[in-house]
Amino acid sequence: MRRRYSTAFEPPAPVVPLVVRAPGGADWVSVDAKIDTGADVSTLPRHVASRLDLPAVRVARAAGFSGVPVEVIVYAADVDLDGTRIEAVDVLVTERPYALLGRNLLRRAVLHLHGPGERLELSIGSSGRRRSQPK
Amino acid sequence: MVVPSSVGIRELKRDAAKLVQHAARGERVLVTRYGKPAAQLVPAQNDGGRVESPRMRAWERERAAFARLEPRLRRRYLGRWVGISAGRVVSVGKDPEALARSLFRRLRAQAFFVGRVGAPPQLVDLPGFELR
Repeated sequence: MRRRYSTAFEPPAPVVPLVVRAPGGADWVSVDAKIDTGADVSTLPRHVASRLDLPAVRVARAAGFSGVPVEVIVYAADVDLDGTRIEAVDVLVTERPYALLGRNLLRRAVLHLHGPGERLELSIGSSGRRRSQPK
Repeated sequence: MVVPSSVGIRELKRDAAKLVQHAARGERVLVTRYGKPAAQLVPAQNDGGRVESPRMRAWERERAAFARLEPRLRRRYLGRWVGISAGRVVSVGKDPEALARSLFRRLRAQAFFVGRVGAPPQLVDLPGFELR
């Protein structure tokens, strides 16, 4: 997919659409996800996790910019990124209104960021993962 | 009262009640000692992104079962990830995400908890975020 940077952020930020489902579920929610190569794990807004009743899987300690770790719950979600479904990936839940596309998903993608041109290109490899579209 | 985001020890003693009230509302207050950051007042509750639901309560029961079983599991599964469902070990693996993926396929909607035996929870970095 090719996208212009989102001007909803200052400075403009690389943002891509993400379709989220509970593992094996049919109901879905689309959410904007800001690309964050510094985040180990992707995050979702709380309202998305609540609406889909995402299942908790385990606990982790997450360190934000202060570096002080806090205990967080790791949920699982199926996500469609660039038309490819990735099953049962780890996500954290935050109060932010947008999602973060962290390294646990970005490691599956080829990503080109063109800062001066404010555009991005992202594609997912076809290594055995099935293509999908939201119904 | 306007609560500053940073206070010295003297102000901390003088305005402790107000500062604690402020922190309890979710605002961090940095405490400095000789002008250098020394401590923080933060809200006592951290829900860790908890989303309340019957599914979450079922997961909490599996988590409690893991905590109960964990001392005994050390002999056999030390350092490995185990999946707990209905209060017993249902799967063992080296990668928590892969383990969870296989359990979703196998158990469908049944709750399970994935924990690493004999190790603290994994540390994840979210440097762009402030976490409470």
